[in-house]
Amino acid sequence: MILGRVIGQCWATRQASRLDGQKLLLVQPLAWYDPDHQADHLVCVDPVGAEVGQDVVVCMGLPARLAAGDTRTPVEASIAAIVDGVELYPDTAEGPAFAFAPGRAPETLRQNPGAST
Amino acid sequence: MIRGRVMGEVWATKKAPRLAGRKLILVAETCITAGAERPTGRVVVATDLLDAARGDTVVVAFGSGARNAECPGSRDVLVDAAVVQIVDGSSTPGAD
Amino acid sequence: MKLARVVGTLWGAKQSDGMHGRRVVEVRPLGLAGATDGTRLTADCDDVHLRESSMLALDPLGADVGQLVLIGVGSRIRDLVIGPRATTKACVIAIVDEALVEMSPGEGSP
Repeated sequence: MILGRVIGQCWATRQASRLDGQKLLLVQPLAWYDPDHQADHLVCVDPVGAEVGQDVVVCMGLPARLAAGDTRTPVEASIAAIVDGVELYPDTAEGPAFAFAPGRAPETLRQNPGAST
Repeated sequence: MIRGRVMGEVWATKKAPRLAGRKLILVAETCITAGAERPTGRVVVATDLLDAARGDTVVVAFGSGARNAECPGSRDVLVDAAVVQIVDGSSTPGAD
Repeated sequence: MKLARVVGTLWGAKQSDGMHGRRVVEVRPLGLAGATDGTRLTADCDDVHLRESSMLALDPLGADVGQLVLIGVGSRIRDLVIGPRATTKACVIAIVDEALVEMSPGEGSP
């Protein structure tokens, strides 16, 4: 899964029939793990009910298709959770500067006292 | 699978039903270059059944391998990355 | 499938059930950027052919550190080589004796 922020919504009139009734959200990834996949935006189906501005956890692949209701749905990313808070342990990585590009730290980021930035 | 360091936690109350009840952690991928373990800059949100502690080096599996860690043989969990091992040691030169 | 060199093994007592008794190896995939016609890739070939990134794979064959291996990634491969309940998608499917490059891969190859 990856962390992302909902930055908008997508609408389509003509679309694959299995996408009918799915809410499509535009998500800006805050951190990636798969270099083959890397892009500055991602369109996700939303079975959870996220809103613009919220940070979310995005699930990719087959489970995302399942979340959209059916493994035959042409979907590759789905909102799995709405983030309440993120805590970074100060001594484990080089702080959020390493983890998140400038301006891309989660809104709800909470750092331990004494953490480096 | 990748090697990574547990670098944080993610809390969420509103989750998709197939993800409910699972602990989510942030893992920073690391690689060993020139005899030292360094973060690559890639970060993944993974589920954690093994209770990894802060700073632990862990093995994260993706896709069906991650689902097998959560629920073997099932396709019905909304998980695409999971901690499958907490690393005690490694013979790679430069690893802790 | 890709060629890689085993650079180490990992162990840890706390693990998923699907990892029990399985050997985890750390491998670095080969990059062919510096290869030319006639480059032989063997267990003792130069490190210049190794890519920076490393990955982890389950190893049912018992490859030694330094050996060249063939890595397969995917659930089908995992099902066939290890079993449907193993918690990985990457596994060692062969220990390679030698590979021979017969054409320069050119600039910008991955």
